[in-house]
Amino acid sequence: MAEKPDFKVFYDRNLDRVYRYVFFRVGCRQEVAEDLTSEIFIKALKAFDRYDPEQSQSAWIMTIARNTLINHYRDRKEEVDVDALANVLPGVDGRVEIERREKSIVLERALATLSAHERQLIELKYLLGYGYQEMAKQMSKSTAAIKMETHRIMKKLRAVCISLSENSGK
Amino acid sequence: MYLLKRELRKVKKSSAPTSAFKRELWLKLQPNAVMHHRRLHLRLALVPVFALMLFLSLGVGTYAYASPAVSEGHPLFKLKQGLEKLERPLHRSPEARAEFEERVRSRRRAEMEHRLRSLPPDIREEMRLRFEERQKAKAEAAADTTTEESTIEN
Repeated sequence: MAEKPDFKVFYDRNLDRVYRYVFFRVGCRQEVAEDLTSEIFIKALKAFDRYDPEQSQSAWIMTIARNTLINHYRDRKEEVDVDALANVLPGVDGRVEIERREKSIVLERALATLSAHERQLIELKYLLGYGYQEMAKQMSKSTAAIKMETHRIMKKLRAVCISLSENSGK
Repeated sequence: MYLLKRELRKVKKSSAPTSAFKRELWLKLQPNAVMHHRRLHLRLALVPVFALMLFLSLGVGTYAYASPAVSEGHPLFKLKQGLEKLERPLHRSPEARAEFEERVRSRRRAEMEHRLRSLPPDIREEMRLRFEERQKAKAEAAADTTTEESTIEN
């Protein structure tokens, strides 16, 4: 049985993940991401009695994060599909190195060629830092199936990136 | 060669929250988190306390109700009488009520026996006789009431 952690432990375990999730969905604007992340953790603390680590390690706070983002866009009267925003990568703003900028654009374009589900897997594994086991639980699939699928998507993504970078080099 | 994993790692690194933000947010949350922690501990501590209180009150109630040592003059005797008073209306039929009254009488008898054990033999005998007489009178009075009630019901 998973023991309910102290809020500090819970905070340390989930802060980076929640922040990144928000960051990619607010156009990589640091201030907005920080404000929303603060709001999410304040809500989480208020409702911490209802947190059950048996059911999910971080799905609970990710649901709060998702709802907070939906409210954020609703208040701004913007119609945005929060789940579809996973392909937004850190913008090219403020990037000094041209090469780095190009690679980032290539990656961004390559991610845009993937389906929403494929992007979600890449985001969970490589950007939010989920383990295969946690991903499998979240998606109600076996760990082996998720692992295989992620490898296949990575292979596909790599091929697209190579092709895009070759084309941009020409 | 395109190093995909390295690119993804860079993206991950560049999208991390700053340590200043982490610190500030925790400072904002900390007072409430500490309060929450204390509340949780208090709540957890109250569970065994309530369980113990319930256990003790049930135990005391059972002891008071069943033990012949709890007789007139004992601090728990009032509780015993209260429990009997609560039980009395539960026996609706005249037979059940008579049975209950008989049980109460035998309980009183057992209490008396218990008290008499500490007295000298001659006084003990005298007390026993007096008690039997009193009980007999009570039983007769109760029988009269039951007969009257059944006549009214008929």
